[in-house]
Amino acid sequence: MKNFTIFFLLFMGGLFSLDRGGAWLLDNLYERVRSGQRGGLVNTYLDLTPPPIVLMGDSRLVSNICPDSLGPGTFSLGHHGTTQIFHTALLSVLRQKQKLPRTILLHVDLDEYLRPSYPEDIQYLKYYYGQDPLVTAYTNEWTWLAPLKFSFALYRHNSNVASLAKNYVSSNPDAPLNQGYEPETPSPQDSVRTLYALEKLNAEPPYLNRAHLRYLREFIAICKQEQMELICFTATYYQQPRHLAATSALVDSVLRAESIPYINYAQQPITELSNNLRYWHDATHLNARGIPLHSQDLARRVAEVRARKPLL
Amino acid sequence: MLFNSFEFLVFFVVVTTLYYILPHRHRWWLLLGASCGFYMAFIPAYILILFFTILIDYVAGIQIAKATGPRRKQFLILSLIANLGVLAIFKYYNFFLDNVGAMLDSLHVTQYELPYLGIILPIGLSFHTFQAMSYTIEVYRGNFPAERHLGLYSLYVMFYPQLVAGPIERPQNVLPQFHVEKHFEFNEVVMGLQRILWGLFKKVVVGDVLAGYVNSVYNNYEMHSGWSLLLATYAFAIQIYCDFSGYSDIALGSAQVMGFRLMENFRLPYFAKSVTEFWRRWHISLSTWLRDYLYISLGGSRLGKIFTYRNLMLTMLLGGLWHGASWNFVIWGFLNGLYLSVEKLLGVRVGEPLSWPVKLLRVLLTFHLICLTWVFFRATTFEQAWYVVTHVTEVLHTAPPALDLEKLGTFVPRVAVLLLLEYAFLRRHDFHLLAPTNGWAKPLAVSLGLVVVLLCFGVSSGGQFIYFQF
Repeated sequence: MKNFTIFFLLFMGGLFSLDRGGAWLLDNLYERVRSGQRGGLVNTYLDLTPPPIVLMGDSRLVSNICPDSLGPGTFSLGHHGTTQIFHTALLSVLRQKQKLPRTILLHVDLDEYLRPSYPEDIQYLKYYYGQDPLVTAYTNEWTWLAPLKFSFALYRHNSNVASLAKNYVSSNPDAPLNQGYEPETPSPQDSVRTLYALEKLNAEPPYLNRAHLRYLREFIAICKQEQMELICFTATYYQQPRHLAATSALVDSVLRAESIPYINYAQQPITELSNNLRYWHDATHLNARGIPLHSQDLARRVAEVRARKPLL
Repeated sequence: MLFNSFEFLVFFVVVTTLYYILPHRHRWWLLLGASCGFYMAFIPAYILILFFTILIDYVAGIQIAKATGPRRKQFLILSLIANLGVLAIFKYYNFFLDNVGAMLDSLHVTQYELPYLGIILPIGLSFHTFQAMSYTIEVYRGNFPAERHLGLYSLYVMFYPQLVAGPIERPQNVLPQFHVEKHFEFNEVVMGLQRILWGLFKKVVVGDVLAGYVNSVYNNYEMHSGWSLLLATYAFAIQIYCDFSGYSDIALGSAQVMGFRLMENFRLPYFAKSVTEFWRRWHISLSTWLRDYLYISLGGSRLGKIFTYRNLMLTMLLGGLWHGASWNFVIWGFLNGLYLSVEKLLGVRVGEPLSWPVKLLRVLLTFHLICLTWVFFRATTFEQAWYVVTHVTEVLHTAPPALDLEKLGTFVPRVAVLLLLEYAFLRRHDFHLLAPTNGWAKPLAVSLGLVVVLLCFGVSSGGQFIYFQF
C-alpha cells in the first residue's frame, strides 16, 4: 500500500504538471489559430472591430448566404453542424468579450425542431468553459460530471488537438479575411445528393420539440438586454418538406410574441430556386450557382424589414 | 453506464476503494450490488430476467451434481431451455416473425397480422446467457462442482467488468477466485490500471474517431464512391477491433485491480496468417465456447471430412446468429465457415514455418478476407452490404478523392501507433513489461502518457460499445 501511495502521488504530481503545462501550450496555440471552424473563425472575428451586421447559424447559413450581399464588412459566424444552443452560447461569448455587433441576422433551422435537442453542441465552445457563464451553465446542464472533467485543464482541448495543430499551421495572417463564407462548387453529384437528402428530410418523424425553443428565447433575451437589432430568417428549401407548416408555426409563434422580424423562405420560397436542381448542392444547401440569387433576395428583404421596423 | 464515461470512472473508484476496505466475507455482496447497479443503469427492469435465469441455473447446477442417471440430463435440459428460451424470446422471436411475414408476402397472403413483441434487447444478453450455460454444462460434464453459495454464483454471472460484453468466462476460471481472499497487490493494481488506460486509448482515441467516418459512409452509402466504401470498410475493421478489444482490456484491467484474472479475449487478430488462426486470436472466449460446447458436441473433426466441414459451417452459422438476429449475421457466419472449411481442405495449419514475404502476403490476404465479412457485419441490410461489395471494385478504375486522402491522414497515425504498441506489448508477453517490479519509470511514463493522450485526443462523448447490442 505504501508503494502504491508513493506511486499514486508521483503520478498525480506528474499529471498535474503535464496537464497545466500542456493546457498553457494549447491555450496559446488556440488563441493564435485563425483558420478552421472550431476556433479559427471566432478568433478572426474577435480580432475585428465589431462589424455592423453579423450572420449566425448553421451550415445552411455558411453555404447559402454570401455575407458581402448584405453590405461591406458583414461577417458570417455560421458554423457547420451546429444548433441553436451553440449560437446562443456563442452570442454570450461575444458579449463577454465585448464584441457584440449592432445587428444580428440569425438563421433559424426549422429541422432542429423536429428532433431532440443536441446539448452536446456546447462542446464546440468548451474552450470557454469557466470563462463564459452561459457556456459553463449549458455544459453543466448537459453533463453533471462537467466540473470533474474540466478540472483537467487539458480537457478544454479534448479531441481537438490534431485539428488545432492543423489549423495553427494553416493560419496565415497575410491571407485575405475570410468572412465565414464557404460556397459549394457545383458538381455532377449534386442532383443525386439533393433528391436523396429530400427523401431523408421527408422521412423525419412527425415530432415537435417545443423545449428546444428555450435556446432561441435565450438568444432573443441577450439581444434585447444588449439592445441589439435581431432579424431571423429561414433559408429556402429545394422543395418544401412536409413538416414545414408545423415547425414554421412553432418558431413563428415565439418570434411574433417577441416582436422579432422573421423572413421565412420556407413558406415564401424563391420561385427560381424551388425544384430547380441546377442550383442545389443537396436539399437544403445551395451550390455556388444558387447562392447569389438567395443572398441578393435576402439583402433586399432585410432592407425592407429594416426600413419598416425601428431598432430594438 | 459505459466504460468510456466519467460516470464509470467514479463508479470504479468508489467500488474498488470499498472493495479493499471491506473484509473478504463482505466483498461478494459489494461486488454483487455494484454489478446490479451497473446493469440497472441501462434498463433496470431487465435485471429480473437475469435473476430468473440465475435462480434456475443455480438450482439446476445443484440438482445435476446431486442426481444420478437421466435426471442429471433433465436438469441440464431445464437449464438450457430456460437460457435459450430467454434468448429466443428477446432476440430471435421478432426476427422469426419477420421471416414468417416475408414468406406470407411471397405467397401473396395479404390479410395477416403478426404478434410482434415491442421489446428492447436486454444489454449483453447473449454474453451472460452463454456464460450461464457453460456453468451447467461444466457441472453436468463433471468438470466443476456445483456452487452452493447463491451470492457467489450470481456474481459469476453478473460480475460487472464482464457482464455486458464478456469475456464469456468458464466457471473453472472465475468461481474459485471469488472464494479466495484478495490482498492489495501493488503490481496487480498498477498493471490493471494500465490495462484500463490502454483499453480506453483503443476505444476513444482510435475506435470512436474511426466510427465517425464509418457511420457517415455506411449511413449514406449510396452517396459515396468506391474509395470511400473501401476506406470505411478498412476503418470499420480497425474500429470494431478497438471497440471490442478495448472493452475487453478495460474489463480485464478492472478485474485485475481487484485481484481477479479474466481470460484473454484478443491476441493481435489482424496479424493472423489464416482465418483459422484469426479465430484463435479474435473473441477467444466465444470461439473456444463454440468449439467446446458446439463444434466438439457435433462431432468435431472425428467423423470424417464431410462432417468436419458440416460442423465447421454449422458452428460458424450459429456463431453468426449469436451476434444478432439478421440474415447479414448468418452470411457473416457462412463466409467464416466457408473460409475455415476451405483452409481445412487446403491443409492450412496454424504455426507452420513460413518465410517473411509469405507471412506478409498471408496476413494481408487474411485481413482482406475478414474485411469482406465485416461488410455484412456492419451493413444494416443485405442490399446495403451487396451495394458496398459490388461498388468497392470502382477503386480499380478511379483515382481516390481528395477527401478520402485527408481522412486517411487523420486515421493512419492513430492506427499506426496502436498497431506498433500492441505488437510491442504482446510480442513481449503482455503488460508485464510495465510492471512496477521492473522499475517505476516505465509504468509511470506510460500511464501519464496514456492519460494525456486520452485527454487530448480521446472522443469523450463517444458512443456505446458495438458488442453491447449482442
